[in-house]
Amino acid sequence: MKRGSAELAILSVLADEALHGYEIARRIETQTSGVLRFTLASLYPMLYRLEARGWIAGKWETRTNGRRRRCYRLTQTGRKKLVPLRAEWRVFFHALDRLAGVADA
Amino acid sequence: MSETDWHRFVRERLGGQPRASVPSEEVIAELAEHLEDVYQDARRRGLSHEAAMASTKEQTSDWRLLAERIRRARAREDVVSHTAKTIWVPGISVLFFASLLLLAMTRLMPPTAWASPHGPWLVAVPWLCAYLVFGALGAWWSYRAGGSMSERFFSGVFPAALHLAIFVTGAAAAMIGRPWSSEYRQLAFLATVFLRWVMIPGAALALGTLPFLRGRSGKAVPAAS
Repeated sequence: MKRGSAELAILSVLADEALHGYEIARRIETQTSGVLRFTLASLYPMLYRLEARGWIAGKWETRTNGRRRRCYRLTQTGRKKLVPLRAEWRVFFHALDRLAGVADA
Repeated sequence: MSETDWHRFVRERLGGQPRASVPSEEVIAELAEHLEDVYQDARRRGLSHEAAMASTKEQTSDWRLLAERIRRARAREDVVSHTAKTIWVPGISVLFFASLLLLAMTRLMPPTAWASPHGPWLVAVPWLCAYLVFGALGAWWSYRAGGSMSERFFSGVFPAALHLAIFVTGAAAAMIGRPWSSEYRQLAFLATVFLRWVMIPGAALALGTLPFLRGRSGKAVPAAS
């Protein structure tokens, strides 16, 4: 997955609600119809990197089924980062579309 | 495999890494929970135990690389790298150029230039013009490295820190040093020096950053910042 797109994907799904790692991966895979997929190897280094930057915050929570999960939520800093990130990608894709006509591909 | 077994599975694979790369128990627990979810999901989809296990183990094939990536991410190495690229390298570089300029001015300007009626203008105008350029340079440098608006601004005005440090040192010396005239200890004098030595150069640097404060970062392709 292209760098930068992974951050956008993770920040976007966390914009709606706090999720743990597996839920993040499943939500992204579902909402992109399988185009974007995160494995353990690609997801957690990215989550820890985003957490180190202060864009997301992780906390252990006990779910209704009794299992403990580390849930991540978007921080205020992360919300501020998401806006220009979305705008950058919008411009990028429009530029690609003008170049290669991929909008209806 | 039970949830507990996934903990052992992860610990066995990560435990063989160099000590510095072995993640904490918290990370091991989180990875194990993820694998448990993958396994359970595979079973819900109708896969046999063996197929679900194989599918789950495909989540990563290189545990050494995963351990190293986690170590770097949690050690904030990438964060430091980003901050260095967007703030410290541009800011300190511009500070260096500003220091060279100040040194050149004090060494190369003839003493009579400072004392003549037009001396201050002969010195101040090119000096402040140079600071406009330095401010722009710092902001542009941070902009190209993907810095945010505040990071670009800070990089551009960073040399003002040198001026502030010199002012604070001089003011402290005036307060405690006996040979200094009492005039130098007066608030009005210090305020004037602060204005001319810190605020005005700082304003010139800040003005120089303005063209690079708007818009997104200068990277042509959106990338991890």
